[in-house]
Amino acid sequence: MPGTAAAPAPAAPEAAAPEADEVVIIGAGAGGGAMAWRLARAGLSVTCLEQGGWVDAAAAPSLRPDWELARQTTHHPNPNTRMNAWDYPIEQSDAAIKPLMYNAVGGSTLHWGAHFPRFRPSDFRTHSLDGVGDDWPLDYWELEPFYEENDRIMGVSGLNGDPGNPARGPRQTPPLPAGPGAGRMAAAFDRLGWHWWVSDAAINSQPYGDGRGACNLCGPCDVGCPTGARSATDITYWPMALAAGAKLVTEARVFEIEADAQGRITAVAFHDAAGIARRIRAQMVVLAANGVGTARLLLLSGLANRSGLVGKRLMHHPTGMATGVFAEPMEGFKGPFATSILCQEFYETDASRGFKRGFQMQLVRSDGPLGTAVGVYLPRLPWGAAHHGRFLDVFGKTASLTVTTEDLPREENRVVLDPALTDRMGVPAPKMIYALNDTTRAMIAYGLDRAREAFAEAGAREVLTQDLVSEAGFHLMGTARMGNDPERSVTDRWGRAHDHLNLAIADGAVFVTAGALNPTPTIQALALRAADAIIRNARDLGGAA
Amino acid sequence: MNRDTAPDGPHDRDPADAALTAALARALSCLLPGQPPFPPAGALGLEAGILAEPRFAGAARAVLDAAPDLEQLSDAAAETRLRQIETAQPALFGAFVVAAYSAYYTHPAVLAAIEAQTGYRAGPPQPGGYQLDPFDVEMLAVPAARAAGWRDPREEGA
Repeated sequence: MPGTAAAPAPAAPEAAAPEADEVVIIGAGAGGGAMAWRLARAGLSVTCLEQGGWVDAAAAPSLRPDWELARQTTHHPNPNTRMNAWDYPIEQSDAAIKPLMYNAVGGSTLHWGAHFPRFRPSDFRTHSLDGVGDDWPLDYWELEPFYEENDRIMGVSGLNGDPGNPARGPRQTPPLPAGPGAGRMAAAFDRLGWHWWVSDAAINSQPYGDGRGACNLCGPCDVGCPTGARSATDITYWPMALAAGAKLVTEARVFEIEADAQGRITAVAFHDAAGIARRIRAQMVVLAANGVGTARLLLLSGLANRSGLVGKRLMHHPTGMATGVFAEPMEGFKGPFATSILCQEFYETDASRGFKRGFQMQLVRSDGPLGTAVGVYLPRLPWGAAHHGRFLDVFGKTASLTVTTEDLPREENRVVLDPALTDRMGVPAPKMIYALNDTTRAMIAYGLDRAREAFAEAGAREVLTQDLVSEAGFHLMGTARMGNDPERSVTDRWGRAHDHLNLAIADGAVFVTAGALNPTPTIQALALRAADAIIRNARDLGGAA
Repeated sequence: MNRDTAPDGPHDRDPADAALTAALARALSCLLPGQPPFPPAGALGLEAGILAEPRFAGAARAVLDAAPDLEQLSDAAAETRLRQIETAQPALFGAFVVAAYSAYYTHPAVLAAIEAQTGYRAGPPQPGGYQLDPFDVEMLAVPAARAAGWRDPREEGA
């Protein structure tokens, strides 16, 4: 299990943890970075405790000839496989979808494809519109200004004018190149009369931001971006947060949030880089440790669980994959692997399909030789005498469509504390318990049929499908949902715990439903909005509960 | 499995290690037997790197433990033995296949063969990157002309 590999050396100054601070944030990823900047800019005194350290993008594996090896070892998205020193183990034997995340300054934004769509307005009203899931205690329009500000800071390439989504402000840079595969599929979608649009990506197509260059189409955004084109909070929010006075303590592994007898949060306990247990007193604590890490810490601390929902309602984006093999080169190893175009023709409910809600189809490019062989988008290539011929048959000639479905919340899908497994400090590890239901399987099956139809229209000579990509737990949502009713939700509409008014959550745990779209823009917009609520209530810090 | 730090080949190892390395080479060539210009995996000296990589070594050792006579078998019998293990222990064998493919497809000789066959550049993707034509906005003419495809909950009273 994890704990055997050396972590990269820090690339930026670290702060020593103070003994007390106004606000303590746990986690320096997508939500934590946004929160830290917003609070520090407003003049609040902020300390962030991050389990990992700084990762030096100038040493990214993509600069080495054996770069693909990193994806199977030190940069594998699953911490149980990666086994880096900054990771903690996650028991996954009862999880149909395995956990993917990264622990470092920047969190999983260091390890992503940077596909950056917003949720649709209907995503916030699934119960009212379709009688499934639950409504959020806020709507798209309330979040819209925070989406806009987040776009400006992260930097988004794309183009306005998509009739499939509400109008919005201009993107920071133009669309990324489509490539031959997207060209073929876009024409096929047009002939089929289906929606498609160029993807929003948190990737610069032109230089944008402080010292950030343009994408040079190298491909593997997930192993690090030496040009800084691929956005991540370590190069966007964190430089601004630190400049505004925020303190960031790396390799600080939080194991308990402490509360007094009245339920007021008083301190955060953590192991420092040397393994020494320390604590920092806090007037306000913000959890931003992702849908698994945040649930784990709340369960470890016995907090915020009047509703009994902490850890429950775990949602992913269950994903099927269809890959078209073409006769001619598609050059899919050129360009950001996860972003080109997307199809939302089947996103909203259509009762004739036999299920409610829907899915997106995201055209992903293809892989290098190793990714092709081990089977990321394709099924794994066969071993034996047929191997080499099959490799040449498919390599560089594919494009793939994800069928990324909405995962409606169910309490039996959950994060609990494992009774046996611990991290290397002896702290109980989380366990994910997760299964798909028949509705989700039907949705994926329907989507794969549509993907086959699209590839046939595009002239693919072969279509290969995977009913479920198990290594796809990159969106961890719902384990501390927000809501207006303290008996049926963990936080209020501002992300503040009903039971502890000086404890807030700023990650995917607060999601009420999951949509069928990548969650990071929504996580960050919610974090900025939650930060503003904390700022407004700053005079009450420490006395609220 | 950093190629800069992986242990040297079997000549530096004790007899037990040498036997393990030879058995692993045999298994690797069963998986990836080679086909010009692709070399057989067992001829590339991948074994030490696999056994030194903690994420790979366990699966490799377990598969070899389950096939202790692999080196004595004919090619066909060796393949049959490995397929029996694959059937009986698919997760374990899958991990071994990933280890084998990982070592093979990041070896310079294999990357050179791919470059010769496909034009894919054998070097790292950075710092050179690749070139593609800029996005052609004219592509969007058809989808841009479609009717609005999103639901506004306000219009439905939600």
